[in-house]
Amino acid sequence: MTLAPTKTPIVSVRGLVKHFPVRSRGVLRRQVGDVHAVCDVNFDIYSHETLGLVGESGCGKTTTGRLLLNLVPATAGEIRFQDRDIVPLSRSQMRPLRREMQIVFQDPYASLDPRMTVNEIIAEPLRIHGVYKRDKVRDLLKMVGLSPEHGNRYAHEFSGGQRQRIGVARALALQPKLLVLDEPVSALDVSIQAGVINLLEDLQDELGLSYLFISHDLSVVRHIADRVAVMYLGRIVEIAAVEDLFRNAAHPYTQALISAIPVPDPKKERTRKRVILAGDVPSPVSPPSGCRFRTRCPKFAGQLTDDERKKCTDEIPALAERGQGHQTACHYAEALTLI
Amino acid sequence: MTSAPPVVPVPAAAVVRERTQSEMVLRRFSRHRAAVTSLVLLLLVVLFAYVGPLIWKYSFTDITDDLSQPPSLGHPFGTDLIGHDTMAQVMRGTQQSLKIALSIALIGTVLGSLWGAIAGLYRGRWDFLMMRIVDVILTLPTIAVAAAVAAQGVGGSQWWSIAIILGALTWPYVSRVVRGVVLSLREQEFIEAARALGGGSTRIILRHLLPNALGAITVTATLTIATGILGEAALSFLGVGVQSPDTSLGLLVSINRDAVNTRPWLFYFPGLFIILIALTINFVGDGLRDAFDPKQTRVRQ
Amino acid sequence: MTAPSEVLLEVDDLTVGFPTEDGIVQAVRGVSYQVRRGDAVGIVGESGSGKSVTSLAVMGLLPRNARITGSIRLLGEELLGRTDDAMSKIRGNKVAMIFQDPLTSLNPVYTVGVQIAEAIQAHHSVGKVRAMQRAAELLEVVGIPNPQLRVNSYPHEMSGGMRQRVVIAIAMANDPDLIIADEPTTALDVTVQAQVLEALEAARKETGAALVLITHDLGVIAGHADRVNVMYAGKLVETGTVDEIFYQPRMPYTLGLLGSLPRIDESGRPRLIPITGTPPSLLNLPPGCPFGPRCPKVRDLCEASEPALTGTTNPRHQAACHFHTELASATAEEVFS
Repeated sequence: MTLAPTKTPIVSVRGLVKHFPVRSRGVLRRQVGDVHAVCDVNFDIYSHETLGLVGESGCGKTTTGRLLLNLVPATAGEIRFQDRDIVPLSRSQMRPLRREMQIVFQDPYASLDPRMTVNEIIAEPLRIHGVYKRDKVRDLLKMVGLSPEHGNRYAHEFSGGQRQRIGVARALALQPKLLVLDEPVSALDVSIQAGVINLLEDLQDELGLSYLFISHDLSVVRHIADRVAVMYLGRIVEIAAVEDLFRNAAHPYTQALISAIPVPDPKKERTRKRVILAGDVPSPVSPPSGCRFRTRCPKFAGQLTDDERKKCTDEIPALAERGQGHQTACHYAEALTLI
Repeated sequence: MTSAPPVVPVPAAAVVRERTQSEMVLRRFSRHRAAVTSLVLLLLVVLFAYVGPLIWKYSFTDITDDLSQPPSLGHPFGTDLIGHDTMAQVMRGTQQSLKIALSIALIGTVLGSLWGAIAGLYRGRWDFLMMRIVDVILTLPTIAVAAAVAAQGVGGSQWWSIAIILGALTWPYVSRVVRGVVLSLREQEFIEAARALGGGSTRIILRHLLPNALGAITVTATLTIATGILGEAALSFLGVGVQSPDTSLGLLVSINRDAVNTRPWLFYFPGLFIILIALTINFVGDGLRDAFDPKQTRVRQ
Repeated sequence: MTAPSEVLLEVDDLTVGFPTEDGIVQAVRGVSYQVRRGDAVGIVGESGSGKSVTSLAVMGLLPRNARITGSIRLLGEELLGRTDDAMSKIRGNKVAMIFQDPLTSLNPVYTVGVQIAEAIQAHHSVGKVRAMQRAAELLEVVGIPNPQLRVNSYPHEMSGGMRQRVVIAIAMANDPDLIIADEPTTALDVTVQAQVLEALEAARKETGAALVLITHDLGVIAGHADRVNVMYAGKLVETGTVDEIFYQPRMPYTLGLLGSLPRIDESGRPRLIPITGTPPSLLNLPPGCPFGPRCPKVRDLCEASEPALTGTTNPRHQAACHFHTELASATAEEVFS
């Protein structure tokens, strides 16, 4: 892609689709429809790079992260990890690959087994893969900034930020190359969040990790990501290098998203240009035809002529380079600086 | 409507010294006064049933010269028409009843936990089929079915045949509870984390699901013991349970029901023990439920 | 009506304690502040700082076992010690409250139109038809499309953002003097948050009510508050105008909060400056400054005595730090590294 055309990606996703069946209630449980959670998603992640995946709740970003690890089976598409398509692999075929790719969850309370001590939690991946050594657990605890003496305590004895560090240590135990970070700091207080973000940045530099950083918080993504993909209702609507995206957002949804984030600076906040969206996200069971964003799009509502609108309703805009220097999925893309 | 104050959870400002799970369970249980009292009473009953016969001068088979005596120092619970010491009989009866009830709880809990855990973990068609079987068993009138089966005399009237019959009719209750717990547990992120680490189903069930469901299983198992005591009593009362010369609390009540007016001690003492055991176990179960419930962190008001 | 600078709400030395098995958790430890007519006061703090408990106390919504002392006066009338009945006359009349979860304040079995109309009729003698008309008007003010149709919707037929706007419409119907919004947008997506905040501004313009906005989001505070109260460990640790707090913070905690935020308006990748450690337990707080254990500038005096909220360069810009004078024009980088 734009940033590193010479390197080969560590993982590349092509035409990824995930539909969840909607079933009727009762004995027959007939399938009555599909939730179009992820639709024709394409992206690459290069080594030692962070791809930010942003969008609002229900946009399919979390499902994309689970698909990438084959934790939920894909409906269609290809995920090439180290030159091998992992979509058709069974659970036991996936097992050796689990050492290469891991996940950190959003909720630092739900993601650690309350009946296990911290030592047991961090040792679990090592035991599963038969590489348990006691010193290794100690080293991992030190690596994430926790004292090894605390290993015999239960997870609930730690604060949210410390628990998230335990989650990171568990994910790193098998020395993976790719880490899916699913909203890893969203549940934390701001003063704690910064420490975890710094830790993630340090670990990336130290271990040469690649991150898929899933978040709804554009401020955090701007801080940590090298490239950013914006999702809306199952599709990627824009993907660009981080600075490019924030300076020249070309998709009306990206623009609305950026302008909706409150800035902790009263003077800037008072004078900012805002794009406020009307309405709510449509149901993913029956997404709008053509461009999925058109029902909320301020451009569609206010600026386009009827002829131009026809294209939005009839034709799905492809994610393509449209003269803004990066890929965007809007027929009438126009770069705008909002900050 | 709008003026009604909404229920507002008070934010968790209470950052209190943390304890391990078992410590908290013990603490909460010990604050449940009825449960602690019941536990003490229950232990006394167990001591009475199992240690009592070693000390007491009469055995339940002994026939003394005192016929139809009301309670006295020599025979605290009186004697019956033939001269059996009622206290010795109640000791033996309690022993047998407890043994049967514990076996019922054991069978019901093991079977029910596995059944419920498998249904909850695999969901889908298997879950549907398994839970419909549970529904069917739950619609059966337990005592009537148990009496009918026991009357067929499978395994004679051995104590263990009663335990098996009643256990086979109680496990559906346990399986429902366990399935519910597993259904909510399997959606937890730590289960997904274990899968992401490459953990197989066996590991997930043994290392994660069962330890976390242990609280719920303990509570149900306790309550199943109480149901077992009553079930055994009912069957023996109907004459298809424990048979003489052996005895049980249910049988004692049954044999002596004609004596309610003439020699009430024969009827009331075993009856009292049935109520005492069922009641105390229920209170202990209640206490355990509250103790395992993580929402019970604040002081009772 | 009274003079514009009249004090609407006066909280004086408020303390709130919750008895637990280990003793009393002091959730609020002597908080005093004022809200004047038309003011927009932001209360910011992290979880457990006591920011929500303070406002629940104002509304009389704390659980019965809470131990409350101090004074809360609304238009000169003492609210503490009133019966629940007396408080419910004030709730929704002079003061409206908006919670994080709109479902707690909406009744699921009535349409939103009926609920708004009922609020209108509770305080104005108008007919049912007129009240429903007014309900539709109010829905329009808060930016709900097709308000004539939407009055007939039930809460569960609406999205979270729309429900929150209905709650705001109900708040407006009562024509309150004060709106207390407790994390009104925390559960919502950013684009929906923008809609709800706009509805809140519209409601303020329409009713002229003062606003107490409780949030952990410094960005929301920056855009919607005139004055800011920063809370930490159950106390106000800094108070001032929004510009004073954001541009000249005089309490290391405020400085640390601002420094630890990733910024959407800054390019490059300046390293974030975390505050080390965690907030103290509110049970048996040690003497001294509660922020001391996490403060890089901590000295002997900080461990010996807890600093009071005192005026800095401006008497209404107050900070609870012994050394606030040294913090003039300091940056988070200088203080925390």
